[in-house]
Amino acid sequence: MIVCPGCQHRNPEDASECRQCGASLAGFAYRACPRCDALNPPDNAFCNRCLAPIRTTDDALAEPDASECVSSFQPGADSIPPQHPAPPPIRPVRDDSRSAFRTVGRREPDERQLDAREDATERPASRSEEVAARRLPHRLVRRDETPPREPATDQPVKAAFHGAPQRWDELDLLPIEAAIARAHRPTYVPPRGPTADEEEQAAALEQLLLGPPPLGERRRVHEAVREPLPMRAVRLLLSLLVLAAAVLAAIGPGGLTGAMVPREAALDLADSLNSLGPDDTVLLAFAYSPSYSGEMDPLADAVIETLARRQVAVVAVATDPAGVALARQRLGRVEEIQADYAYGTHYVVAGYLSGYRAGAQALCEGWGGLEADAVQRRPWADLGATADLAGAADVTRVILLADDGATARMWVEQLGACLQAPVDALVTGQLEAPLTPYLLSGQLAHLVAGGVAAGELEIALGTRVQAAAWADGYAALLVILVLAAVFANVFYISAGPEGAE
Amino acid sequence: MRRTVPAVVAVLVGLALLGDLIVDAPGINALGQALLEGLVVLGAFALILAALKLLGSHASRLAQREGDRLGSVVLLVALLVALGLGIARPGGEELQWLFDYVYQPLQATTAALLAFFGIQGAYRAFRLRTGEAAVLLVSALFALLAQLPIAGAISPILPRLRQWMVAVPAAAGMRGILLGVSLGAVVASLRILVGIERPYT
Repeated sequence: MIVCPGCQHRNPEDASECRQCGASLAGFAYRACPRCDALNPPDNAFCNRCLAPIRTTDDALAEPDASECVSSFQPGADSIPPQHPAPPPIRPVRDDSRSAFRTVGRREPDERQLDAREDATERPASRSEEVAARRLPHRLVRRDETPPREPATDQPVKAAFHGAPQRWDELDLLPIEAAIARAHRPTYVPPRGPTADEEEQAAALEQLLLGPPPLGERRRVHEAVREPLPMRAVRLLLSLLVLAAAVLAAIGPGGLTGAMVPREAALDLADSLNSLGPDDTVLLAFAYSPSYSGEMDPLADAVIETLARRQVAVVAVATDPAGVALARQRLGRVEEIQADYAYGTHYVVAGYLSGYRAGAQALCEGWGGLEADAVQRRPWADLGATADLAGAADVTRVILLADDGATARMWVEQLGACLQAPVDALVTGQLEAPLTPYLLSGQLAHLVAGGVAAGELEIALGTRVQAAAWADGYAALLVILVLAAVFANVFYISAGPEGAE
Repeated sequence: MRRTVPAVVAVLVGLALLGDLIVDAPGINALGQALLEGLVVLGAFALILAALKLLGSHASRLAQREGDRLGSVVLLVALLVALGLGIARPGGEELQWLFDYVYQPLQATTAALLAFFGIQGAYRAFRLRTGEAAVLLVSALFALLAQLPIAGAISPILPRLRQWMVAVPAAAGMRGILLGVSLGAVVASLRILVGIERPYT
């Protein structure tokens, strides 16, 4: 029964107009099963639900006539299009591999139906018949019937049913009409080419995997997002203020120097250094790089000046590759100030201990594998500062100048134990917190950190004033940081949370 | 074989150095010292190898006319000059002059830029967006104030408070970090000693 697309009225198969609303049935979309009233696509020959023939007239429902079904099959104009190219026309064939009667649904066809089917195989089939025949239950044939005239192979049958070389038993489907099976098959999606986005992503991945490194000369240049003009102006102003603070520290009057009060750490170290005498030998370890010379040089100078003033022998070693040159530089300047403090007699630059931990550990035995000093290339016994010493383990004090936490810990943990001498650490400001536990545990005798402490040490030791003159610059930096905080929050609050980024 | 022999060597050397550290026996101590000296020599050869590799890499870049050729030229010239001076006159004044007037000023200048970066970073980090940012701002300003050379002149409490902050909260955190680092080092050493970790293969 044809279902009217307008009022859903069930009309007979031969109706061209709806009997209820009068609308044309040319474009009907569903055919109702006369048995269970299930809606089926217009090109279905059997019901998807109950498998009853649905393209017969209502009268023929009880006894469907195959020949009438073949002749009356006229699918609607907008019937479901085939999902695959139309297979070549074939004739229905028998399937001897099945049982004598393959039941369709739950009832067996009668002999008339089978005879009509047989007739259809014997006469030449028209185009419409061939198409309809593909939807016939042609497998409902007797096993003992006469074989068809044409030698049938399995291949065209498979192609006719599915358009693909598959066997029934591979499909897990009932061996019935292809139209029934087609409704359950997944929709065929033709392959498509990559989209523009996918092409771009593939090109980016290829560039990432096979292209030149990003740090090469052909690297992409990402332009930074420009900030608003006021914020850029503030950044420029802050940078200029930092420059001004540096100039103030270098050539300023030093008005705040007199207000400096040395802290306990600087006072304790000063007392310790002032207790040394000409009989003592200090192992001075240069373990900082020239990058931190602005912060570390004043500390080194204050200590070296004090040791020179007290005629304490100094043996300088380096665990930084540039340490030898730094040691020569700092010790040489002291020699210019105090003429009676001479190389060889009072101080020696032993050299660079290569091998990091292994090289430093070797210092526990002798002079760490160093046969002579680094400047005059003279053996240790020929140098006045080291003539009475068998090795580094005989020094009375170790003073460490370091800018690296790992190196400082190495000196404290490894060399402090084997050298049997108290270790004083003069380090950059950032190492004060990491080394404080060693000070509290007694592994470090003294800990002085940072450029500010250098100024305090100068005042406590009474040496030349270098870092102490930077007090004005430090105060200016504090003011600049306060200004930075104020400016940042003013812009942040005024621009709002979204605009402040 | 290619994996077993290095593992056996590493484990034996590690056990020997560990024995040198723990046991006070002349034979083991001498063995440990010899191994340490061997490590120093090995490090020196590695340095030579690295220098040769650097030399070859930049020479190849120059020969093929690719990359930053001016930088390669400067690098090669500096390397060869320093190497030549170091070999010809070890401990000479020329090397010291290079250090005093070229190397150290360049390094110090680069490090001095940190002041500008620091202030720009502070300008960004001091925004009071969250509670943590407020804590950061207050503690930073306080630490800077207490770090000032004239902090004692401003108030005698400031240096003591700063000292307390360094010795108690900061030291507690650093102790935790040090303990973690030490435990990690012990575990890593044990893994190498028993051959589980093989960074040398």
